[in-house]
Amino acid sequence: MSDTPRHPAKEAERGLQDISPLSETSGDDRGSDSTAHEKNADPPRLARLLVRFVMPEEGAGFLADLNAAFRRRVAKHGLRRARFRYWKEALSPSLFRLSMLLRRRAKWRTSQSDPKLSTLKEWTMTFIKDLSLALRGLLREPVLATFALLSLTLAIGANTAVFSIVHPLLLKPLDLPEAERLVRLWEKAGPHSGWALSAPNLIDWREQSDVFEGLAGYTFPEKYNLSLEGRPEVLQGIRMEPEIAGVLRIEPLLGRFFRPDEGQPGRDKVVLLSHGLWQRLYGGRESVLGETLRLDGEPYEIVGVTAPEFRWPPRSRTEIYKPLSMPEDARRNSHWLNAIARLEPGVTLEQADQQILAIAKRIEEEEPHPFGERGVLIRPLHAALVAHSRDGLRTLWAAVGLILLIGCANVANLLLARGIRRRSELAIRAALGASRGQLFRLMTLEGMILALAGGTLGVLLCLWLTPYLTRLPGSGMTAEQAGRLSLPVLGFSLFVSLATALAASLLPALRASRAQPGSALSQRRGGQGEGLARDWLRPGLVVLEVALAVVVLTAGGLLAKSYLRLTQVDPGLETQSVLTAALPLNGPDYDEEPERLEFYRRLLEEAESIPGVRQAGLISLLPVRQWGVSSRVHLIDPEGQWTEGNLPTELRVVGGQYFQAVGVELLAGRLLEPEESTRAVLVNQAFARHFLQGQNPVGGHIAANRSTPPEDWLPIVGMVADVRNVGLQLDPRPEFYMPLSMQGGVDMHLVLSADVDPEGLSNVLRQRVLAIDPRQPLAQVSVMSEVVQLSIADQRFKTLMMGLSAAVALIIALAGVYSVLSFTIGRKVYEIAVRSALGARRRHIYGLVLRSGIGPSGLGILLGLAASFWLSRWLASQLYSVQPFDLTVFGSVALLMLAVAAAATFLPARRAARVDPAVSLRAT
Amino acid sequence: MVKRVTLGETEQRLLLALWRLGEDAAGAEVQAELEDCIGLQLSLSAIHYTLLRLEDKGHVSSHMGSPQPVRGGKARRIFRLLPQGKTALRREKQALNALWEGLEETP
Repeated sequence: MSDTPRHPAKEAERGLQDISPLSETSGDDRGSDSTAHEKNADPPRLARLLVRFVMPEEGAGFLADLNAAFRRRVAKHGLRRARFRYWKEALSPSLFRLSMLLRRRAKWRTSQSDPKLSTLKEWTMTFIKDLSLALRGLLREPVLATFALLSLTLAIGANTAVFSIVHPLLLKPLDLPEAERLVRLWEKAGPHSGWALSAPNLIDWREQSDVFEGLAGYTFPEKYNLSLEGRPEVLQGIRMEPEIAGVLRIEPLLGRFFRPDEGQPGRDKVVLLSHGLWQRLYGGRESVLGETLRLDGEPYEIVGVTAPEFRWPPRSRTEIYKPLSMPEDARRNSHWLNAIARLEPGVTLEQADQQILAIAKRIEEEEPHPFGERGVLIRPLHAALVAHSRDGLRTLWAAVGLILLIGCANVANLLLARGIRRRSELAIRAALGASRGQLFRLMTLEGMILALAGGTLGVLLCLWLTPYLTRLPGSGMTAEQAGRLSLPVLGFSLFVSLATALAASLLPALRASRAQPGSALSQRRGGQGEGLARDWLRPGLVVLEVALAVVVLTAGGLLAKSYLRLTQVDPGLETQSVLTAALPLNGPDYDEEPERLEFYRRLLEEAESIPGVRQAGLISLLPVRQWGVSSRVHLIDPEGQWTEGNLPTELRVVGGQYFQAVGVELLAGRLLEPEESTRAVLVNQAFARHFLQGQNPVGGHIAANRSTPPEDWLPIVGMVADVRNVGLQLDPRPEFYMPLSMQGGVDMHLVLSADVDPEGLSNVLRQRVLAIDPRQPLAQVSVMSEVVQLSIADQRFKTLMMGLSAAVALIIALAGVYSVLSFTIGRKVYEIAVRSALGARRRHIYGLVLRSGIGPSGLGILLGLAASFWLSRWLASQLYSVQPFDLTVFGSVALLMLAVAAAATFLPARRAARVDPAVSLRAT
Repeated sequence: MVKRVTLGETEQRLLLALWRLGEDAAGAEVQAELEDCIGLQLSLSAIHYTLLRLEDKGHVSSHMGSPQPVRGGKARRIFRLLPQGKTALRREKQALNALWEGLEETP
């Protein structure tokens, strides 16, 4: 230890009183709050235990001293530094003790002549020796090690990142007891699509079946207006039958679940808070049970709080749960219920399917459904949850799997190169009696070290990256899941690292272990007999790497092009200057239709009077984002011909100047008047195309049933242009628009077109709404372009992830081509020198090297394109308006890869061309 | 040559610190004194071990003190510098001074 003071000596604080924790020592400029709090802090418990364990005899006196020093440091340097120092102090005797213990044991072991122990020890010693040998060997070749580490870090990092997304979404079982017995039920609409259930059907299925332990219904997400001390707020919630607790087997964290009688009208004024809402509104106060909460203007008693991890539906943003009471007058053809059931133990999906189908058939015979026969669709809950994200995630996973292969090939190649360079060393080892197994172990260890180091770096990379990725819209992950490194994820990356190590070092190790002392040693002097022609393995690996990279790039390119196409799709309406906001009108104030209509009339008036607002309108479902309210319609065309409604027709309710506000063109007839009191509907172009072969529909009439009396058929007064209402990637469906006055919607969206920046209007709008009704919240305020963007967030996320994967694949392949080629050139300096001595020109040398670099790459590109051609058919379902075999994408990928290969070849080629024959030949 | 028990560098510093603290002190005070005076950071365990070794050599004595006046306070080991230790320190100082003789540069 140096004896120069590290800082100038200062007046020492002496005596016991200075180190007593009760005195306020000087030299502390921190706030008195923190000191007061920190002064009472205890030393780290674990460290204390450690000391007691390590020093049982002197422990007590030493520990008391250590604690006194700790308190002094807290007062002087703050808690953090004191804790750090305490740990240091606790560890140093521990390490000392440990080293003593080991030394003593080692001595004891050598004195014992137990053969078993000594073999084990010998093995361990050799292993440690080999390990340090391998480590030193790698450190001696920093360039090679860096390239290998880079490849592995990227490959394992990408795999871990994707796995940490795939695992919670696809693989992890749900957080519910025996979740594998949970199933979702629908009424069949197509082979893979279903309708929600109607209340009578749900009740009949429940009562007449015996394949389920329980069957319960719940609504789609609903919006409730919460009035809480002034500021109204919109909460997302669902209503669910009390039976659902038994089906899911859930227990609330606090209080109780709904009682069966609370599922009846009139007794359902109770709510269950989600854990998040409870924390947010009440700060986790337990006395909240029994208090009332005003939702939609009505008091509800809080009866319980759900467990923190519980969400229903899973992965939703549900914040509040109400009991669902079945309306008395529920109709059999009104489909609005989600159903979840738990299969009886031992009952299969098929058995359940058959029984429910039989029940459905029986109901069908008793009361024929107006739209014809319906089937039943039963799916395991987990499969139903992941259905929409499964394909995309699998593609992504496959892509990163390929990246891992590329990384393996790359590292294998580098290790092969290293094996060749070490051939004489290995030969000497073999000549001195190293067994094949020992040589094999030496070579495998290098791969193992690289893979574990790469794995660690990869996990760190993933830790750093995933929070950003999962926060992006469309990742489908909740905030809690984002960026959490769970045990399975860590296990997965460990497994991947070890598998990579084995895969990458198997070939090189096998080769190296076959070292023939004689031949290798005799080559030693020259050492240049290494030609490309004799070694097919390394170029072969380059071919593999490039081919795999081409596959990943092509998939990425196809998805990127598809996404690009999607962003270029014209949604059919104005998006930049339009502001939208949700205005759910709930509660007793708005029970009656006239009150709702009056509110909307005043709202539109107020909104249009805001400076900068051009037009204001209302729509029941946000364009592009929301759809699914549909009905089958029967049509009498203008000529009086009757057509059966064979396709569900989307229904939207509009009010005010909706079409003007979003810029949807009127193509025939007239728009609905703002004060339309008569019954009339508009249809879209798709409607006319589908039902009338594109003829003008104005003058026709529609109705839900054929048996509707003639005076109740609704006249079609106009036709508007198509809007991509059911999503950008789908062709517009037939739609009709009803006036607000006819339908009196409760859950409308306000749409404003503005001359100014629409985002700036949201505050004014909020004030205007509060001026009409101080308890009315405004939710989901966003510009229409954001609404459209959000509708393709899934695709954007998938494309981004694939793009990242493609970039990683490209980088690894580039590193692979470059490192292999530069190694080859290094080996061929002698040959090049002879060639130039014999008169080869510089361009010949360039040509020679470029050929040996681009040759394998070219072959790899061709193979990769062929593989992509074969594989991309599985991508077809995820592509929008791009063919799986898209010439532009395939061509660009080929060109890009070729350019990358040329770039990777160029540097080694230049080095080769600069070889001075005189110098090189003399050196060898 | 006369074989004499000499003091190591750390030993000397610990004994000096103990002296400065008025002959009776626990390890934590010694540690603080060394840190504050010359910026030397020694781990508490090293201080304890060294002082116990000095006790074996007869320079220092030690006993368990009374419990500390704080919550859960335990007794600490209190070290005392013995006259023999002071003699040893003086001897070391003289030896060093003798060696420094004539080497001092002008200030």
